[in-house]
Amino acid sequence: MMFLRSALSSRRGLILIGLGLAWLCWQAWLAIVAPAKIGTGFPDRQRVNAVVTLPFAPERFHILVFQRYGRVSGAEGNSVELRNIDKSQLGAIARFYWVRRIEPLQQGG
Amino acid sequence: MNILLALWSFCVRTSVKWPVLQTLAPFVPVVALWWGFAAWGPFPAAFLPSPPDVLAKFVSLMEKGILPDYLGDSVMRLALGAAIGIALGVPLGLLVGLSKRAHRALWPILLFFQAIGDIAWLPILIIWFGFGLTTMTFVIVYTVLFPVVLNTVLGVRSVRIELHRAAQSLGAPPWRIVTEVVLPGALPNIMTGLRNGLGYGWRALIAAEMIVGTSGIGFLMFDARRAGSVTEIVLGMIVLGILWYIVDAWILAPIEQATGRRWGLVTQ
Repeated sequence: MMFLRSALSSRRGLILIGLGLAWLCWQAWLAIVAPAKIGTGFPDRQRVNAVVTLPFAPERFHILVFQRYGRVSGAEGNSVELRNIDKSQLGAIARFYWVRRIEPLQQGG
Repeated sequence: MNILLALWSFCVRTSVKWPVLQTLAPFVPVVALWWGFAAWGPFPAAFLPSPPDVLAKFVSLMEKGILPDYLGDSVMRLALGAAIGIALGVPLGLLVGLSKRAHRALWPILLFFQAIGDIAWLPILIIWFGFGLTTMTFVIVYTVLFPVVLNTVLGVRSVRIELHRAAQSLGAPPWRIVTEVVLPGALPNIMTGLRNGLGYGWRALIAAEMIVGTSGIGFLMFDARRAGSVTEIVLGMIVLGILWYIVDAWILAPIEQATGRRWGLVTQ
């Protein structure tokens, strides 16, 4: 409590607390906008295939991140094909601010 | 000349009111010199990028989510390593500081291992644990441990014997003497050790990430050499400096000063 009081009374402490609050607001914003990024038409089963679109061409970093969620089977332009993703993980992928859209991968795609 | 003096006087007055500006002011000539040198052009931009190049790379890496992710990884690794280092270092320091027998047995071992640099452990750690988090955590814990232990021992030994005797004469059991006399008395030294340890740990982490990492700021810098991107390397160095400045000057130093004031190391 004493630590918090001394942090609140210093300008640096206030800046750090402000940065922390800004980060929390940013995380809340990402959680709010994430569902709107997920397209409709995903099949009604546990594991699905998806096309994840970014606002830029994906780099190795992005491919490695996607591999945590499923199997990357290809990339074209700004899109990455991601297969065998747990459907409950779509929200986690959509929460990345650098993901623009997640849509179901068409049959034969 | 008068205009320059007036400008200088304005800068001094403003920076006194705003400590953040006071901190940033010394960097202005450094950045101006760097910018001028890069614009003058003795080296091509691929070897010496200018500040706008570095800024553009910062914006690009932020947009792509690479920099925040790598930065988060590095900070989490340091926090984990530091937490384990403190959890091991403080009790060990108390033991060595309080018990003559433990001091006799452990002090030579501590000095021996202190002399073996953290990076010297990397070859054997890669064989034992592979390229991963365990290796990096070990390196940080090892680096944080010694400054914490040695400063805790110093802190324990600097607690005045009269305070021990006073607590004993009031009937305090040994555990209360440790928690209410020795530990608070040693706390300023423990904080100093922690501050030093985290500084060394931060450097060790970057080195470990360069060698065994697959993410983190050290990895970003070392990976940039493959693409010959000096801009990314310079950006990594700037990020390291800024981040450590914030952690040290804004968090650790005030805590250290507060413990010093609270437990009597600062005597006006």
